[in-house]
Amino acid sequence: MTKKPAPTVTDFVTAAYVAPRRARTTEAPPKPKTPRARRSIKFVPMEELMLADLETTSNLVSLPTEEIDRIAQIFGLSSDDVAALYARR
Amino acid sequence: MTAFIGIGSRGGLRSFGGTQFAQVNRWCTTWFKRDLIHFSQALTLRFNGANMVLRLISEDRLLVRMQIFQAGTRIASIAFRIDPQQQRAFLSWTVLTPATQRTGAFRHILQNLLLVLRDCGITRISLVASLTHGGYVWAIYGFLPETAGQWARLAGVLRRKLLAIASELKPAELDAVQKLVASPDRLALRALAGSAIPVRDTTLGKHLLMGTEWKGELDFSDGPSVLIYLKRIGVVP
Repeated sequence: MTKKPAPTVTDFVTAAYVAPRRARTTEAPPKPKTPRARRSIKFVPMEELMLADLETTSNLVSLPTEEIDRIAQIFGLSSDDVAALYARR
Repeated sequence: MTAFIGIGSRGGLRSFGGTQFAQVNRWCTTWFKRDLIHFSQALTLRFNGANMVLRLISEDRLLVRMQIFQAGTRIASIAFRIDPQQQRAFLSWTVLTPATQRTGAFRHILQNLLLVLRDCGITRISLVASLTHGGYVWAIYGFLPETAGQWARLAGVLRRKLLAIASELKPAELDAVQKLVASPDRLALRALAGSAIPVRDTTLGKHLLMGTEWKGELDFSDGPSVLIYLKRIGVVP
């Protein structure tokens, strides 16, 4: 019975560069190509964000006072009509 | 048959090309008074980057499609046409990611667009106010029906909607609203949109105009409309 020789530095270096042994003897068939998953980005119409903005800054929802006055003048609305249409409740 | 241009952070040119590049550049020099790079930079102010596709269509109209990026992520896409001979622009569509809510990104897009349109000598922006919210939102943003005919068609729709909720309004309110809907003046749309009468957990203006579709325009020579628009997009405090 002979003693198994201890590995040398060269053996270690060689082992590091040798490809691992494979159990199979034939080349594995190529994997079928799957389409790359597309990154799905959800978009919303700008109008949706504009509305959300109007509702969060509620002071912007009503018309400017000067425009209400102009509208009242053009359509012949009385001050009661204007109060009925634009008064904040 | 297009020109494309990529703008990176701080307005730097990232890529460009396309068979129409020279023609589009000439269009920018003629109508915008500066070259295509400056045109693209103005459109992407306050954003980290953009990919733009530009195409000249008949009668010197420019079609622009643009993807806008912020911090490396696409946040918006916009498409519009500029017709400098008619001094008119048409806003086709704009979409943004929900994450841009409360960031003011849509305001920045509209502000940048306004800069470019102003320098191209555009005097009116038109669009089709549609989808679920467009009919209400664009009226609140100062847009009016393009023609009296457009308003008459929309008024017919509003009259039918008003009929369904008439019993929920006080007589004085109903009287005032009916007066507006019957008016041939397209300004009545703004008067209705701004109405604060509470109806079915919302306002009367919103209830009537949500889901409607009409062709609208913002005429830059109409002072009150422009002022409303500038306030809404944050140009005027």
